[in-house]
Amino acid sequence: MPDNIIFYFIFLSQIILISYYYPNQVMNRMKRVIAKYPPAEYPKLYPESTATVVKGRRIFLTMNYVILVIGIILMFGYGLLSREYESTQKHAEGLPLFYGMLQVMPFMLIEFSGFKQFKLMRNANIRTTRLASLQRRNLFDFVSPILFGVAVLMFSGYVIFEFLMGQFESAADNDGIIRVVTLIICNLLFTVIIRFNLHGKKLNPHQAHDDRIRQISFTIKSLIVTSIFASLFFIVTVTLREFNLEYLEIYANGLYFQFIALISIGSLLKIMKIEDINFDVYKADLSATDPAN
Amino acid sequence: MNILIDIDGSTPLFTQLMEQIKAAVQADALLPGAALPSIRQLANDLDLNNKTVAKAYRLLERDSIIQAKGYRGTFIHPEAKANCTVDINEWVTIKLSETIDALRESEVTDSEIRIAFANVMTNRKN
Repeated sequence: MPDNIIFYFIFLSQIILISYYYPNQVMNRMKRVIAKYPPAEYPKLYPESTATVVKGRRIFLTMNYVILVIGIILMFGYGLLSREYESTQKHAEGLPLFYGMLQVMPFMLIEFSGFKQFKLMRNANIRTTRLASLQRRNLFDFVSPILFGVAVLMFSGYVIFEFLMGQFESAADNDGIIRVVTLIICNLLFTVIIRFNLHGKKLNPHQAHDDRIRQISFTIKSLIVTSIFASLFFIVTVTLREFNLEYLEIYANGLYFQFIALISIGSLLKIMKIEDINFDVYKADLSATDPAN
Repeated sequence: MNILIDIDGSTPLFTQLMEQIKAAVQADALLPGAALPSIRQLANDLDLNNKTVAKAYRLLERDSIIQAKGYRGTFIHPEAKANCTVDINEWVTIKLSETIDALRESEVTDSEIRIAFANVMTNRKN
């Protein structure tokens, strides 16, 4: 038991951070928006009734609490399982990752629900005038070339490191190839999302130009930082395996997921403040208002 | 610099785009060498078909208001402001009038001119 105290601490922190703290922060944010910008004054913000919004909020919170309980059960399960292993023996190292994937599901659900809301907003949009900026959006308008370069270097560095460490040698153990392919797929997905943000369709028809620019900037920066951390995480994983410290992988996995949550959900809540968003575009009496303001 | 189009307006959408870009050039809101958004970006922002924006860009390029530089993108032409004052419709009218006058001098009737003009245009389309 004492050997695993660090893991319990990391895993408990993962459970609380992603399935309790952030969901409550998201809930508080939603409540503040509804209270400060009510449907009567800002009808365009609510393409569905507030009852539906409240129901969705309840489902989101319930899902998180269920996952929180599952996490605590898993932690006890790990406690029982780990008795059979030496403290320096690798076991259940995938637990924080698989549990982490479960934890992000409610967040993915609200993300998809957001897409649905935007679609309803677009369908309800009766404005016949459309406005766009004549400014070209380039990647480096939103992220510094240095940060982008670091992401590219980290990815290349990781692939070279994986080769140097000889992880591809064993035909039976394809872990190295799987890791490289996973990272390539992740980075390709990030590229598609970044391209969509730069040149893709405007999902929210009412969103003010400045808000859109801020949102694009946030999305691109967080994806690039995530890519850097993903490369770093794989480098750490390879290093631990190379030096027979695989029993530490479970700590790295737990910490990695919390970093990802911090970069995505945490920074979203911190940077995209409600006070900075232009909600006037959602007012009923501004149907012909210029969304570029 | 923003562009505003009216999808219910009587003016074709590509003409609205062209006129506003020309107006921005004449008002110095778009200076020579300024980068324009890609066709895809502008079409998506305005929720228009890519072909509509592509047509506006193609005609602006023909009039030397903008210039496409391959993968680097589309930019305002160095002589854009001067070229904005050229009225292509007026130029076409003058050229056609000159041709019709020359044909009439050769005693070609108006109906013969119309038929010949229609035939030439039809053959070009084919």
